[in-house]
Amino acid sequence: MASLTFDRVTFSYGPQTSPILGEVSFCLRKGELVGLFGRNGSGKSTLTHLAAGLLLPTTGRVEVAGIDTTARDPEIQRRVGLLFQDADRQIVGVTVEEDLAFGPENLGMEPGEMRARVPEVAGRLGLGEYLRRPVVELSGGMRQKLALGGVLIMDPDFLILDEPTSQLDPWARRDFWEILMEMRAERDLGILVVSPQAADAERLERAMVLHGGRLVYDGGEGGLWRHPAIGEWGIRLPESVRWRTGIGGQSRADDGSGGGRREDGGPGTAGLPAGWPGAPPGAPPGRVVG
Amino acid sequence: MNLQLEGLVAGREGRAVVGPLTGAFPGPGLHLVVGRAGSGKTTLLMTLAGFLPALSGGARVGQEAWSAEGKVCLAFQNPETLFFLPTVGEEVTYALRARGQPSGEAEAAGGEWLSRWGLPAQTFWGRNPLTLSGGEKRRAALAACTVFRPPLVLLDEPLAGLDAEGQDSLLAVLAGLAAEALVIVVTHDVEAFLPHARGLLVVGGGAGEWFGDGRLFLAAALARPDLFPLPDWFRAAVAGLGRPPEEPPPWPTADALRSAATHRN
Repeated sequence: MASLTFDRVTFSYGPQTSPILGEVSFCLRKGELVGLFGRNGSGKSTLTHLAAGLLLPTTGRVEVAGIDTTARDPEIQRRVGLLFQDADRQIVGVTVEEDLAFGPENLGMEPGEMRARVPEVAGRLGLGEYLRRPVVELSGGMRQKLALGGVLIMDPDFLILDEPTSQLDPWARRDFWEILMEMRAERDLGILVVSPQAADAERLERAMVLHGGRLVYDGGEGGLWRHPAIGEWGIRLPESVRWRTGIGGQSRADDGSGGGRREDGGPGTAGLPAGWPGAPPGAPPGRVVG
Repeated sequence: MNLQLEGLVAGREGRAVVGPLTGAFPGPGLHLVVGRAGSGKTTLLMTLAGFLPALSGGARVGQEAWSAEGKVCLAFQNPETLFFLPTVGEEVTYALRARGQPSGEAEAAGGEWLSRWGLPAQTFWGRNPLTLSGGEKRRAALAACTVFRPPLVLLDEPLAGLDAEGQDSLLAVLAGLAAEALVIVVTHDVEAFLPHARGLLVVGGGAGEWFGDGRLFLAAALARPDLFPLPDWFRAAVAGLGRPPEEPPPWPTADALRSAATHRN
């Protein structure tokens, strides 16, 4: 089965600079849905660029379906779709139709096939009626769907999604995941989601954690939440997981100090940081819904 | 201050985007403005900040028409991209010097303000702001925007792009700020702010919907999924409690739900 593999990959931006990634090894198989966690600056974005062949390892190997990315084979761009956090970074067409056609055209897809694929993909993403619409007139959620369409039209084996829903409103976030799950089921896509939103955590089957450029966890999603070091890795336990599994004890919003809210449902003052009016001692309240 | 909107219609280039809105943002306290992309949330903030004229209606504080001049901080997404001075100290005192405050006073006030944002002056004053972590940069930028202590603080997606730690630190500081100022936050991260919120406005066509309490908002969103897409797990957990519809829903924490389930049994 096709897979995307990292074999002891190290990466530095220059010979004199410290490595961003050190000895990272993992395998993403088709059909898998994996979350990649880690603090800002832990090397997650560098890893995504290496996976898509946009960067090449300093040492070690990255292979996509057996093709070494150092071969710079255009087949890698077809097989690995990379979706950035900011969709505007990868939208190049003036209209929706032009943008969807850009990738296939550049990889030499048959014009007949392309004419069929563009409306098909647009329709699946709910963009069918916007084919002639200038992309600047689309909302943020629609532009994110268009960027996903620009990736899916290449019929990839793997999707690398870098915080794909962080700039979407909650309605668009829900729509985006519905489409993604349908596409995954149909095409057996292997998907790596970087920094998944807390609310998306329960969709994952496997989780990986980068910490200081090293892969410190690669295993089941359930095992991640039980790992004693998740606090050190900067990972917040989602409320959905806390509810489902009972791991983690009390929420920080309900730390017993009365902070975060009043009995009548209004906001409380406990947990305010030092220096603010009415701030009693106590930890700051955290997130509520995961 | 209590900011009262009276039939306010906000828009751009003469075209209405949101409103007419009639309701109150009582202060001090933190209020959320929620809605789909394109529903006019940012346009509303810009109108309240005086950057855009109201198309009709208006706002008042007490009996006086609201005038934003000198009384508002409006921070758009990623305010740290506007850093332009070499040190955190210079950034945080810039607004005070621009208002003619003597250097010594500006530095004292700036240092005290930085500390309240979790950035002690002895550690951060001389640092280049571009070398701070993501969460520190965001707090330094917002400290610089608010150092002149405006009574109204308007924030557009303040948590965007921060990791969990950065978000938690900023949430704690904003809760503190809301104890002494009126803070209105446009956000898609409703859940993160909900425990701190004194009120919530859902925009998206016409008058919008105002909620004076987080639980009223939760109850409405549970009853009407089109109002706001609550997470599936919370919806399922509340349904599992078999709660009578007139009872306020438990807060969306696993512990609150467990506690509600325990009391029921």
